[in-house]
Amino acid sequence: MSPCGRPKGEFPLGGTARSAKGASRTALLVCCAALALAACGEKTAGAAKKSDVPAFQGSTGQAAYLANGYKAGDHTAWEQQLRNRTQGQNEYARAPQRP
Amino acid sequence: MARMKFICDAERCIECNGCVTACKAEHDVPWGVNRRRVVTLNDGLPGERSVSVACMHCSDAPCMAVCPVDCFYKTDEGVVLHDKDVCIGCGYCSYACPFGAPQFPSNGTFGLRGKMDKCTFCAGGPEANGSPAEFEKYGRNRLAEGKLPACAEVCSTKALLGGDGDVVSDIFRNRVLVRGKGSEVWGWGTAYGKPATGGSQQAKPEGKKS
Repeated sequence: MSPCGRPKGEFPLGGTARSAKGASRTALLVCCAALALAACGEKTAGAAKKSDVPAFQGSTGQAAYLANGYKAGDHTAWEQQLRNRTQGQNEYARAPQRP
Repeated sequence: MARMKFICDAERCIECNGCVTACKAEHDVPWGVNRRRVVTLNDGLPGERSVSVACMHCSDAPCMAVCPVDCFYKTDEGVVLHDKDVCIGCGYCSYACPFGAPQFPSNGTFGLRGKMDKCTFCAGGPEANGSPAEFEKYGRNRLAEGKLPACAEVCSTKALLGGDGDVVSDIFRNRVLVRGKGSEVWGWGTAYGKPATGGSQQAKPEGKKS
């Protein structure tokens, strides 16, 4: 018992000194966590990476630069165009067969 | 479509630097930056070989792995590209790349290291395809024009091949088998053997090896 006649650690409003201390500690922890995690949601100041348009969708540049006979926009046609073009590097396909 | 790939046939490369010149001209690459270069081994000695080297557009690209600002991305065709607006020019990619592909313009007043620049497989960058902004930062976008990289298409001896990896490896495989030299090297079967037709057994030349 304390000198004023109430049990040690007990407050007049019904709480205990221990629970009050625990609540303040919890509040402190929440504040610290909020402070520490604040940076996690921070957006980078620099530019965000842009998304690229696939090559098969064609070029917005001058039409004169397009390969002969090539029409942009069709993925399969684009793949075929590049395959044919790659065969242009195959001299065995370009040159006449050896006798 | 398979991934886009380059291959340089060291038996054919004559160190003419046509690929280097074509790249510089096509993309208006500034002084001090070489997206492609020719490396010569045993220069002036018997057995001299030259290889044209640029970004190899790695499947598991180390430059992508180390970039602190994550400016790299890979297209559906396996071309490794980067966003120059995000790049901070730190140079980590340069240290990570085993081919020395990332280049940095160093002609500033104090030798400043600018934004990284590298081979784009003539696929431009994240700007609109064929736009002036794309050309300014990354050069021409030949893939969007239905063309292949300028370096490979201009190669006079066809030492440098570029395009769909399956087609390119077929061309190279056929070439090596016809000339009867090259398939004896270690790893040939793994790299160019066709599993569907018996793997490395199929890819053995009949000609005399030298």
